[in-house]
Amino acid sequence: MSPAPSTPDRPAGEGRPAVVVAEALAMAYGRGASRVQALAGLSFTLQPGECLGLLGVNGSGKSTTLRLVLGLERPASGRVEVLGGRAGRREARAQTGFVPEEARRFGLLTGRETVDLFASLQGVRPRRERQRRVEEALALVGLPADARDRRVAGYSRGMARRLALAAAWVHRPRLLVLDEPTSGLDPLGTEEVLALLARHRREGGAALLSTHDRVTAEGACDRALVLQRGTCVREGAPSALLAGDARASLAALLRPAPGSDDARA
Amino acid sequence: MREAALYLALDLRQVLRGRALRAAAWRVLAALALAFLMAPRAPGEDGAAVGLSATWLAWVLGALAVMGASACGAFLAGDRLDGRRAWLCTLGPPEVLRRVGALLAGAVLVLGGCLLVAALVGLLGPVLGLVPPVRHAHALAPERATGFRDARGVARPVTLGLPLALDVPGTLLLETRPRGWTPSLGEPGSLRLGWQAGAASGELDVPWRGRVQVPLEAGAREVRLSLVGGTYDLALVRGWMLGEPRSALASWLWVGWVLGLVGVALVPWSVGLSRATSAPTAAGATVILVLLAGMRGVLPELDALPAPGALQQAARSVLEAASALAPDLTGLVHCAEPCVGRALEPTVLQVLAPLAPLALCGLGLVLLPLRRGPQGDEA
Repeated sequence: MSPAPSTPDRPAGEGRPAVVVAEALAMAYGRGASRVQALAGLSFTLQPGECLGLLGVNGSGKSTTLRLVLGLERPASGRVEVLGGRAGRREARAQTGFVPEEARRFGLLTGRETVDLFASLQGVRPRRERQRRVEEALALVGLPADARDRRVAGYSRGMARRLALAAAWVHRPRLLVLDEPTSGLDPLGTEEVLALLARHRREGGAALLSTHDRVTAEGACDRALVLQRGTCVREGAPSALLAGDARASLAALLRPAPGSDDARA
Repeated sequence: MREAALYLALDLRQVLRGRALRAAAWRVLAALALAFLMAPRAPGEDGAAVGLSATWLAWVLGALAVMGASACGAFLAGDRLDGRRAWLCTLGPPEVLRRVGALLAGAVLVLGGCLLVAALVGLLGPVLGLVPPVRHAHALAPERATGFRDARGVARPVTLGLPLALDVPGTLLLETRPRGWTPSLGEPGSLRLGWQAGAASGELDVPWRGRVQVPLEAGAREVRLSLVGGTYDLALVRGWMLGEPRSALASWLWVGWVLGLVGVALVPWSVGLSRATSAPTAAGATVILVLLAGMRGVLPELDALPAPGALQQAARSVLEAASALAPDLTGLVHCAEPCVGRALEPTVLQVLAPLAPLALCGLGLVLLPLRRGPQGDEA
């Protein structure tokens, strides 16, 4: 079962339309016996200034949802709109920043060159303004100054994630899409990511993230969807969803409800 | 196109910093070292060894163009393999510009690499004795198999008109083949060729199969040639009038330019294929295409062989059909002219014409959207 969109197409407090509107998204991979239903009727909206978390175990449909929002794939049925139009169209892409789960993709470039490349491709001009924003983004994510001119291939996982975050944010997108943004980060790095997300939201930006981490879910998200087998089984503020559970992980939240197919499996 | 230029710069940076470029540089240096070992050492050695080392260097240049073009399939395939494609597809610029950037980067790398190596050969070759001196060359057009004997075997002179009068003394270079001689006649024996050009005249020993150089005075407009002795006939196959010296650097840069353009014409094919295949598959398909193109020159020779069996005939038909689809690259043999001391003429660019359909086909593969690209109808 999937809850109806909580506020479909509802203007935000500032009178702006929703950043993401997803309705009855369905998606499957494979054919025949190997067919896997990744999403089955997922609906949600994301308002400006809001951070929505997608919580769920591996294979619950988090990454597929992010790919649909980014326009990397098209849903088998349902619709997803980003910034008032079809997901994946140029205008939407230009105002979206994406932090992939694995970020050491441009190993032969330096950290500064990587962020500068993303800023250039996202149309940050002129050069002086671009340089200023690159330095600001690198400083904000806490990438050490001596690492900025080193090749990314030599970065630790945490440094690569900070770099990806800087690359995603350098053009001040209206929507940040983050796939496990704090995975592999130390507590200090996690705090810096949360601080950047907070600043992004203060500036009116929205964020959609997937995470397994309780600190990130509670620290960054106003609202979270708990996904199981491609459907939303619970929705609410992370603190409310986790109320009464004192453990450091999201295990209680993500564990399938007794009697469900997942629990039997 | 600004974004395509950004992708071009990205690919160039990645190649220039990667291991593949260093490996290619070492291979070129090894090829130059081999040419150096092949070149004549002692004074007085004839130019055959120089021709060998120079021909080897021309082959190295050609191989560099083909290998460089085939390696361009690694840009897009590498994006997919390393997970960069999806990340880049989330950015503003349409994905087609990423492909155009890869295509441009490939063209710049192939052309730049060929020109760089050609410049190296042009600069170091004459100093190290790897390449012969190059002279301006005007091709003559003797009727194919023009002979020096009539139907009764009686010797007759042949007069060759020269296309222009030289301001300086030059050389007439003639390529000859024996005619009317069979192995049953035994050793061909010595043959001499008498020549007269203007007021000058003389006799030359004619090699059994090869080239004859006749000295030309300044202003000569025709050359009269006649056989002296011998029992068989000679056929004039081709001829050139060699004039004023040309810069070896300029000549080899021409070679690098033409072969580089051949590589550039192959780049869209390689990049286009790599949209749907791995980098090794795209590279292999490009190399096979070039091999098939090269087979065009060999296949007619097969017709002279005894009739094969049905299976061999079928295989030959497949090969002939595949070669017919491949571009005709047999004209590229003209790029080896500086290896024998003849400068290239601008008309050599005509050898690129058969590559135009292939380049357009490759361009289509690069530009056309796939049915289900990551950016939907923009891909």
